[in-house]
Amino acid sequence: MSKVIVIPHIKVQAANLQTSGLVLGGAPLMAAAMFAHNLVRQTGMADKGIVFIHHDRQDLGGFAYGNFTPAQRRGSVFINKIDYSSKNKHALSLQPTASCHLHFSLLIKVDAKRIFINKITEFLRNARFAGGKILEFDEVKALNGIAQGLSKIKIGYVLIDRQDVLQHYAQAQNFKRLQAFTELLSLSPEGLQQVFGAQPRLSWLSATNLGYALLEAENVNRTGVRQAYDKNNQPRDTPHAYAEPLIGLVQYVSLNQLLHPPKPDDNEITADPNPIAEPLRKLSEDLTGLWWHYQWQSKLGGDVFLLSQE
Amino acid sequence: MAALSPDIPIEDYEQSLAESVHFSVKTINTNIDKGGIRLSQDQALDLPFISARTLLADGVRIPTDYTANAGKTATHFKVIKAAMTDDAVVDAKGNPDPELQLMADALASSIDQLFDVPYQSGLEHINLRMRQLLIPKDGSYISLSPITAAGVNYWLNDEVDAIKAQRKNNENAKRFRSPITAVFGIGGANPQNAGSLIRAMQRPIYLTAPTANEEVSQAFRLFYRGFDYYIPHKITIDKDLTPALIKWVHLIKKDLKTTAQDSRQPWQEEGVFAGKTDLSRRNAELAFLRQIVRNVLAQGKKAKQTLEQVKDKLPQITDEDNANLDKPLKALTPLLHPSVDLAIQGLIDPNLRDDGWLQEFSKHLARQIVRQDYQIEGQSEPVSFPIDDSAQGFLARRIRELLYTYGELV
Repeated sequence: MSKVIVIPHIKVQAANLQTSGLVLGGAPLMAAAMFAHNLVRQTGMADKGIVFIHHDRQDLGGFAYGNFTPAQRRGSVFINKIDYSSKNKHALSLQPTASCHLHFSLLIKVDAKRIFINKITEFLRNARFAGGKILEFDEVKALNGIAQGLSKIKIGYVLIDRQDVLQHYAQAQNFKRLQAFTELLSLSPEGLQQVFGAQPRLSWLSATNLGYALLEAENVNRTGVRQAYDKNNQPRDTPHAYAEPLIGLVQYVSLNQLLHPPKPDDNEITADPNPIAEPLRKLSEDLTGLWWHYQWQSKLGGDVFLLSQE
Repeated sequence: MAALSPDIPIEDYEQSLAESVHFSVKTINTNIDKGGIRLSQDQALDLPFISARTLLADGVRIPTDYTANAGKTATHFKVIKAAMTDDAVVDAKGNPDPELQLMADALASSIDQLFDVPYQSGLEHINLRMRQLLIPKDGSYISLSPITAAGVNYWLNDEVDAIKAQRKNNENAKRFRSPITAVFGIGGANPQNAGSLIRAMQRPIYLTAPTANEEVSQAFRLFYRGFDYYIPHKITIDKDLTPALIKWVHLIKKDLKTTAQDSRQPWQEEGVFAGKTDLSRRNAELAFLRQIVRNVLAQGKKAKQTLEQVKDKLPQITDEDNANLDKPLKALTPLLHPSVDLAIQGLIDPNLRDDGWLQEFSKHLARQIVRQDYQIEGQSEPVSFPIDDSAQGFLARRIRELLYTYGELV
């Protein structure tokens, strides 16, 4: 049977803020997807999709001359003597990190014969999310549909795929994707109106890791590979590959806006709605479009792992 | 072409070029043994994402880097990098260096061939410091080690600089906000030991996220759930009234219990909660209750102010069934969700204070008053007293009277 597990108001301490070598501060969507996968695996279910609802984030660091300076919270991991500083043999050297405190809610669509709320709660109590410690969360519930789940959370920001905006802008301006990407993330509200017209509803455009592209063929001959464990806790031969994160455009959209979209009064003469806001209108009508799924792309040679909302 | 200097054999440059990589494991942790991967052009991936493989689909040449600094490597890469990014080779002062420029031009054809086939080195064993993620695949798992190409950072920095330059140009000044970058100290004081492009990786872009605006979330909490008002523990009344107040407390303790236990007359059922009293006790009682009521009403007023601030963001719950289609739908309770306790609704919104509210609120408040004990302020020795539970009905009626009489409170 298909159900929606709702875990409201998860608070995480010192999660990882680094999305990839290119970006700090992308929403931890990939972490959430794999976290959900692990959670359902440990509690006897199958995961069919997630919705990530952002509430708050506190970045640990400061600002200097307009640049974000992440706090260096710890030294490098101690493996052996080379991790020590060359200048001071008693101190560990530093490998830079960036951390943040997170506050978010999670909806997980599952297929399950039975749902053990207490097992889920027990898992959450000891679990880590994106490298950070889960401090607290509200009561876990199993509900019947996404609408029910979202109305339990009520406020916050859901994450929406905005590949369409990147493609539209790159084509319209005849830019290559990197220029389109960087400009889109920097456009002011006036700039967005200049480019897309009135009421584009594009506030809170952002980016995050939406998948991995393998850099080489799967390798079964490497040593030192982390082994996966099967259901009987036996290690199994695991292939390995180096991969690069695929950074894509997303948007934080207020839940309130989606659940209660602005309705024009009948007396008002409304301008034609902005076509770039079409995905938001569609989602207000069919909330199931919010689910994020993961899959390996077969048509591209089978070496791309993608999160998508289709 | 002028003769190349014999001091700088081109074979060495070509060797360094052949061993250069797009992805170096030292970018993850500089203590990992050197190694890396170079992509071939046919690994281009045409998807709407930013990564090395997708940039290849745009025909971008992603500069490669050395896996570790040794001997003349850095010198070689000064030239190689310039050749790859079509920059001029300059010396430390920024003046063009013609000899090295010749070298760069000579490498052009080798560079063209560099991306014909993929290349990797030093990756037979995975160092413990390299991160590995188990990703589900085909019913089992594959271990992936995520890594970013410094060459992509190089081009990203270019774009960021271009936007900053546009902002300085007055025409486009308002079109962009300044992109924010982070200071990420890979390589520490000697990043060139990890790679010549490491400096580019020291400035990733930084993305903000919506933060919980405390006022707004507080307002929404009020909207959906109302609030729990508090009753002050410390009571400040005229010193002269204090002995009377103590007597009053004894009174309600003793007399009300008697009334409650009186089997002959159903006083409580009739709503009679009285005991004997006198003027001084009555005054003390009024002072006590008035202070509490004023305090609680003030809390309600503050809650209303918080809600007023976000009034236009609040969902409007309308009575759609009884809608008169000629008139616009009016919200039933504009500042609060209809499911909030009636007593709290009227406390927050004076427009909802009808007779029904008076009853509800008085009962509600009386219940809260008997739940805690009190200390009288201003006494040389603290005097504290609880109020007995049986006083609830009595207090509720007194509070109702108070609210009726003092019209300005309602």
